[in-house]
Amino acid sequence: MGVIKLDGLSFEQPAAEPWPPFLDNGDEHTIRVDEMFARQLDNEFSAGVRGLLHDPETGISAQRGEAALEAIAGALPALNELKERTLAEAMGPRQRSILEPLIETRLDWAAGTLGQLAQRATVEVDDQSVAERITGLNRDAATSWQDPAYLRRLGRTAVEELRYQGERRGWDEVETEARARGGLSDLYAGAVEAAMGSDLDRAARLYDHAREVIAPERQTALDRGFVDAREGALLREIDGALAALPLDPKKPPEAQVFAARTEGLIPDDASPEMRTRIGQVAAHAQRRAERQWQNQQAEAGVAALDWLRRNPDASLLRLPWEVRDWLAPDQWDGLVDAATNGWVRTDPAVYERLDRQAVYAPKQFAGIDLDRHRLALGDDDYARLATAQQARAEGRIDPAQIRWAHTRVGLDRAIDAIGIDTDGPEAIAARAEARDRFDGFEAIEGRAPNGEDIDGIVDGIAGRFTPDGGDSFDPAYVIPAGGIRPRGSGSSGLPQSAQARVFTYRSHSDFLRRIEPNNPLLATISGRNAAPDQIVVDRMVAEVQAAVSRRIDRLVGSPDNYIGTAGTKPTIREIPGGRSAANELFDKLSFGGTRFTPRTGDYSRDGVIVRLPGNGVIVGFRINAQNQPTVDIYHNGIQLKLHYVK
Amino acid sequence: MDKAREQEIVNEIASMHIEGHRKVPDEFGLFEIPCDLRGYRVAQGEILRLSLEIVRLLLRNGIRAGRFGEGRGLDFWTGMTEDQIVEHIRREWQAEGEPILGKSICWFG
Repeated sequence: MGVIKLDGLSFEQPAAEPWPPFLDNGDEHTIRVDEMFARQLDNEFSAGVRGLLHDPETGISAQRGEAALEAIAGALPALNELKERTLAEAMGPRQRSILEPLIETRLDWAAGTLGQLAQRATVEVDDQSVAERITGLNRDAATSWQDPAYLRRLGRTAVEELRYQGERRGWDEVETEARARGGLSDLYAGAVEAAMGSDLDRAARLYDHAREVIAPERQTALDRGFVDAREGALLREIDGALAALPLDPKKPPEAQVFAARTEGLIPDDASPEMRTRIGQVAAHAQRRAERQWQNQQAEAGVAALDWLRRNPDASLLRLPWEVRDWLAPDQWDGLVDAATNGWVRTDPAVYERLDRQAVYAPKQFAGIDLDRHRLALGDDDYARLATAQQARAEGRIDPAQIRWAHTRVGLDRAIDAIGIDTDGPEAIAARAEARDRFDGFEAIEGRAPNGEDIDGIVDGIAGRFTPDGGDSFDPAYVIPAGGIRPRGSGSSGLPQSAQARVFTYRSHSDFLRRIEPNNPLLATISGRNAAPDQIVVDRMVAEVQAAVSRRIDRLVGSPDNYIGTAGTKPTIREIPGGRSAANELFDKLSFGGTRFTPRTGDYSRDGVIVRLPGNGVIVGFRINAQNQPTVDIYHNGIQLKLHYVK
Repeated sequence: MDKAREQEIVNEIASMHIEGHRKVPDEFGLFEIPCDLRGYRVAQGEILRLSLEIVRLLLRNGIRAGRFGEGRGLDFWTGMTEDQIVEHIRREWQAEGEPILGKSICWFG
């Protein structure tokens, strides 16, 4: 077994100790016992040596490179210590004399193994050192690709380094040269790749110059890289040209403009795949331009409003042209309206659309540029939507928006169940009222609406679409006093619009018959079951209106001759007779009308409000703050207040 | 109608309500104000603006705005400033149309 000479490891035989006198008389049994014990100690020593050298985790053979050399240097003291410890356990000179040669044999073996491990570790350290130097040279080459002379020096150094490594490792000439060519190939290929990222033309020249030293497989990769880089450069060039197309404030960027500009930039020899990619770049550029165009409009809207607030008395003609040019017609209209009124008025259609998205498609709503609609949204509405959008974008919960969404969804479902078109004008008006009630609730009640309050808002508004529900009056569903429904109402198979005409005509003609039985128009009523024309319906409604006016004039007098005496103004009258007289007049005035519950908070204290057929006449009875019975009459835009005194 | 005449009308109507309320402290609805303005032949397009001016004068002269509570008298909007009340009225008016008896937006007292 070959060994290497290591410092501290002695290969000399230790000096023999003088034999102590035999105390055991040298009998055969005692000799066997000593031999057995000595071999047991040898086994233990052997296990210790094996562990030190070959333990899978901590043994020296498990280490590599520098770590292995350090472990080998520490192994000799450890082996000597193990030897001394083992010999010290031997009892008597015979055991020691048996054990010592055995241990020396083990140490010879360990020294040989350590030599092999040291040689392996030395090679590993050397290889690692060479690899690091080659890596450094390659890095230098990648950063110095513009300097051919320096590249050549780096290449020579790399080749020399690898050849010297071959000598040390004992490689044959073929292997050494192969490795040297591989190293040179890597160095130049890396330089070419680095050059491709900076200057494609100079990279190509370098590649042409260095091609013969670059390995074929690296050449294939570089060739592919040059194709990709040239395509990428062309795509960037086209993208840049498309980005430079000017935006026209008057119209959004059009696809055909981008396509035409792109066509002039496509090389004749472009492959179909390349043409496809160019098409994708053009489409992307057009979408980007559209976003920029929309952003410009949105920013112009905000800028215009800011300008108007800073210059409230200035003519809009003085609005900076770069802002004015970018305003879309609807934004300009909004700006003119804001300048006229002094504040931005909400466009109901815009608000309705945005609110629908906020409630039913919150993800899409979060992506909308609200600034684009700044001139179509009043400050409160804009702030409300912006708050909801911000909360959505940040993943927060906006309690007010949750409550409103609950309100809107409930109302939409309710009116949909009734059969009303949820996108129609009635539904939009209903939602606007719900919104106002919702907004006003906290200001008036001092707290946010809870579920019950929201249900109340929904029920109150949706209910008015039903014949006998709701909290306000709808002339389409007049129920004459006494609860009598018009004849044949809702029973025909006519279209809905025709049914409405029949309903209106019959309810008004019934009422006219009751207050003016001899009215000539009643004689014209046909016995046919067909729906009357709208002209006929309108004529009946107008006649009812006139009949109501005549009746009011008969009961309370005309504007220049009202009953009673004038109060603090001509339309406030003081009338004697107390409550009974007030009741009598109210009963006459409200005859044939429809009692309805006014909106919450309006005239609800011990009061009764009745609306008469014929558009717009409303009479009410209440007890006023002075405990006086009071009859209110709202008639053709005139309000008459009758206080009944005792 | 020139501005001076408009202001005169606004002052007259507001004074009429303020004085009337001092003599007979009855509640009166917002809907009475457009009726009063029509009595002066004010153009329809000016009704809202002038009504709000009158409301401001009423509020500045001790008249309070509010709504009827269920089964009780007026609950005044004590927590709202003049601007907030006027803005609230403006928004309801624009949403609902001109106030009428039964849809008065608010009452005064």
